[in-house]
Amino acid sequence: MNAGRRRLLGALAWVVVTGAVAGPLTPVHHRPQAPDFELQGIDDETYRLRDYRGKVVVVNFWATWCPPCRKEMPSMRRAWERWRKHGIELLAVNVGESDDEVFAFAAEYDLKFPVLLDPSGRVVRQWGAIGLPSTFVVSPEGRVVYKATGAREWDSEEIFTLLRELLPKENTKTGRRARGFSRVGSSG
Amino acid sequence: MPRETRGIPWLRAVGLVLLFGLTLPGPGAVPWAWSGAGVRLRLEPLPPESVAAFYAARGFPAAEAARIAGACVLQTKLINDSGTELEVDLSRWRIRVGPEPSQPLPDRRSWLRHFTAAGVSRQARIAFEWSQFPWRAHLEPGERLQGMILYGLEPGTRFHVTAPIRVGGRWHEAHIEDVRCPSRDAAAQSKGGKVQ
Repeated sequence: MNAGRRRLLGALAWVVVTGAVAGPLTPVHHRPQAPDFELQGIDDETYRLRDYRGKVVVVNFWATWCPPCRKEMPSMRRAWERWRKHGIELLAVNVGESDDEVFAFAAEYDLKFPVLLDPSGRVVRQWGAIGLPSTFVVSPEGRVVYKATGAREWDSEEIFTLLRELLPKENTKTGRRARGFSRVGSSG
Repeated sequence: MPRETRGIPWLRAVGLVLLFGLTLPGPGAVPWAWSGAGVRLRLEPLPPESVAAFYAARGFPAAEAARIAGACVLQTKLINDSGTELEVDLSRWRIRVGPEPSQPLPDRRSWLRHFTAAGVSRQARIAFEWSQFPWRAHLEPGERLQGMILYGLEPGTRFHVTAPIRVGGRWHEAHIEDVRCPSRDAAAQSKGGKVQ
């Protein structure tokens, strides 16, 4: 095997190592309250986490220079196309880069979901991330219930199932009956 | 108002390709590894020119990018397959060169202070901070981490790493022998090219 081929095989092995998925999502013990933030998006809108109360929100911290971040972006884009139909929101927070750089990246990757800017890195520190990418799942009650350090295949069925279980119960027959029982119980 | 989309600056692309596409140890430049207690630790040499290109692309002045690149940079990967929680604290890690007494890793804060004093932009400093292996970290089962560690030794230096890692509340010591700081010559040789 020549040196070039060995290097190519080595490169592939490296990609496998960094791109490997370390399980779907890690449950967060004690489910702490998600730190609120107010950040500017590259669309010039202001995004406040508190405005998403009542919804499942996936908060992703990333940077354009971070290879695992780049790797997971296409799956995140595909996942969001599905999630949004179910009321699951995605906020992708860039860490420490200029809006021009981030805008160019978003255009290159055809990102349609909200891309926010954390130019000082203050918000990512508040959230206790230890590396990039870091992703947190916030419940409709505003609590951090899952985290993921490193890249994931976000459009997997496994992750979608976990997120869907967090959604508020729909106004189904079962839901109405459950609420009814609760009222009866509390009034009795 | 619609904004014009800019392409990726060539320097950034070159930096990414060099650092993350061509940073594999070439023939003869083997990574160093330890495994135990369900934990895997792996150190991989990063060629100085790749590191310099990466940080220059992140906005570091050339002299500062070269300073980082010459500080014995190794990509460090930690994988927690132990089935329990893991803690790592780089302030506990020790390096030893030959018969000399062991020493702690260079304090990362002193690098950041230096960059601030040298007028390095906030954006570049943030990129530096987040490209490094976390100084302290807690990993849940199945989680993994990677990032650069600057060992602060001369290129080509051979050294020994002792890395305490706490797994499930119990300390384990990873020992990695005969680690070698990347040097320009070795990197160039492994790529069959010349030093730029």
